[in-house]
Amino acid sequence: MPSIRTKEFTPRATEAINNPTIQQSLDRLSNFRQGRVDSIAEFGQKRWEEHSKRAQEIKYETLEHLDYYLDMLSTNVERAGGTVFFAHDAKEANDYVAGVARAHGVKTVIKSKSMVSEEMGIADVLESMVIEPVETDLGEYIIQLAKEAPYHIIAPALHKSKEEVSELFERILGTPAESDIIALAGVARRVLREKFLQADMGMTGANFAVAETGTIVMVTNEGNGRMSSSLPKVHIATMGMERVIPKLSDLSTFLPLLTRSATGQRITSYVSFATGPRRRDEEDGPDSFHLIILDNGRSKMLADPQLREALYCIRCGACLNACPVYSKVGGHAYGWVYPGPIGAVVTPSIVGIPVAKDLPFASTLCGACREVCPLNIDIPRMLLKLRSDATEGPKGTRKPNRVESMMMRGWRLTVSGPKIFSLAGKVAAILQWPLSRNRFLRRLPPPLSAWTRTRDFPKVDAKPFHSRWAAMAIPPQKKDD
Amino acid sequence: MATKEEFLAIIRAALANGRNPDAAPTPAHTSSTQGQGDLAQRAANLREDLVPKKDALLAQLKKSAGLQEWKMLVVASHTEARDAVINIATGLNAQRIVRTAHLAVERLDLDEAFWAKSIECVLLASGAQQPDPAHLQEIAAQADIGVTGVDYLIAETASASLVSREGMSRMASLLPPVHIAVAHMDQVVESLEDLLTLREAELGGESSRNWYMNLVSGPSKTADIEQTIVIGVHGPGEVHLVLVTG
Repeated sequence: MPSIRTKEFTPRATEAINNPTIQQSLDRLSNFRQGRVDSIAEFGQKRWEEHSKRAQEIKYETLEHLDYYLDMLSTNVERAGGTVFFAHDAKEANDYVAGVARAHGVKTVIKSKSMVSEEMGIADVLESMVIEPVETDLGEYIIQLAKEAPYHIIAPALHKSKEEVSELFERILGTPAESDIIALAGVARRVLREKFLQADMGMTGANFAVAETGTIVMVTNEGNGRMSSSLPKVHIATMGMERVIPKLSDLSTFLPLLTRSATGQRITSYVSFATGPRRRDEEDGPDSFHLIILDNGRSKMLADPQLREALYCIRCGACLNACPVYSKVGGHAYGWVYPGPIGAVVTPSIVGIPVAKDLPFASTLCGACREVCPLNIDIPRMLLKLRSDATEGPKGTRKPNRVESMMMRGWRLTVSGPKIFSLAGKVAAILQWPLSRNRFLRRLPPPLSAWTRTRDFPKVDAKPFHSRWAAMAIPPQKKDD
Repeated sequence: MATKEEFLAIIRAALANGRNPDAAPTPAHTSSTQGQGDLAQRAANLREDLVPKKDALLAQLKKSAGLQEWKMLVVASHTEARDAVINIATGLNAQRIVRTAHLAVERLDLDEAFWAKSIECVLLASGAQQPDPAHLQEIAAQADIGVTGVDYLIAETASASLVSREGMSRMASLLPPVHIAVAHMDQVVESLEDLLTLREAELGGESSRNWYMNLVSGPSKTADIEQTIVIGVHGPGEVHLVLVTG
């Protein structure tokens, strides 16, 4: 697995917030947001909701019988002449890839974008074997050259300006400086075309895997997915175990939800369907096909009724674009492969809550993520659950915090009766006087300073709601009971 | 090392832990539960339903092809289609063309027509010889244009489906910078759902379980640098759709 930097949330978020280039890049997320809105309007709101509902039903059915559908998938991939490997964790998956690469004497691997392969950290493993892994999605290629992690699920190099890309190409590829984005893409096309033609193994992800036919489905725009699954002699596809869908025609439900939510596209330039290796009568295609089905913490989410729904995710990235926190702190603050709201749910489940406990708190719980989610995943509810896990810890492990429990006891006392509550309000209105500026309390004494260090607290009004309500002279209505 | 059984056992344990009491007792969501005969029947019904919709589908396809950045040309006959393909090639100053053996392409007799213009047009196939994918890659990578047929065309999204078969290399529509897809009005369906229904029915009748298919819905593109769209990254940057109506 790639290095886990989830403990550095605050410094890395601060760094992004203070970096004007990154803020400018994050402002471009509005393109994704607008694209999605326009695209759904074109599709028709009612039809969209029907698709969403249908997709949720299919995911529900598939996950409730995940053992059955994965068994069916693997049987059908094998019937089509492919090999299936079930991997508990990233290491098992990497070892399998390494074994296949060794057996075929592989020197160059072309990769098309896959979040699961990021999760595995396969590129480092291949490099350690003196095999060259080449990312071929333009965004992934850029961050591979920069030795960075993806910034966004569908736009890995979102944070890079064209100047930075030009500097990177100049330094590593030795190409002249270029300010034109078309020319920069042209450089990547030339360099990567060579790699495509010489590669002896291709690795892809799978946006969907169809149980009934044993087909993996790749959704791409650049054509690198087609190259990676067609040119080299060996094709290895990796998928998280929740990617399986029952039948081919289910794609007509999922595909528009994915592409329209992600970039606002009606459909991507390419949707590729690979079932096993090259057929005997085919002109070209890989001689061998391997499918790696990865657990890597997913069974823990499956076992938790409160987190199971996170496995509905189709990785469209809409929740990242909608999130006011992601839109400011960017992808690297989240410290691992999956950023944004869905990352804040998935990452703690995979790397463990003790190292990733900041992530569920990196949210305002505003609900925008759920609102845009094509599968209507209740991310805020899961973040609350994870917050509770992070604070309480596994049963009996929580260290009591005396100050906190004293404050909580005081709070309980204050809010448990109207008389004390209104008295507390009056007292606070007087006590706050030296601390208040305009409508806010900017600095409170310890331990309350923990709050005001990062947030303002609204002033207690001298005329609280109770007295205003009474002054409105509407007699309280008595219920006849 | 995880065996399949160990892996599935973990999943079963996880499901038992939080088994939803409302879950269906047995998995039911497969097309085979509807029976193969039903699939074939549904496909036949669908084909029938599409016939009276032809005009509307053509109008829809024209619109979506524009949105998806296809350069679309509607022609009445195979002769006109051949002229259209040759015009595109000469307009681009193409020297080398590769094509597939798809019936829609074979009908155009392109080889001779191009020969007359001193343009080389070759079938991208190993023929009777031992298949040699590396050799085909080399030829396709040198070509200026790839001409292919299509299996179906989706009107709603202007998506051409291409199933790879004997005489129909995966490379022809992928490696050259320009792709010309030749299609017939009979191949037009309305939606992705239609296409997948027809494909599911076809698969039932195929002896081999492995297959490779692409939906092509416009040129290769990226927006990975500053969200600026660039056309033509790894695949063709220029795509033409020649639709024969007669």
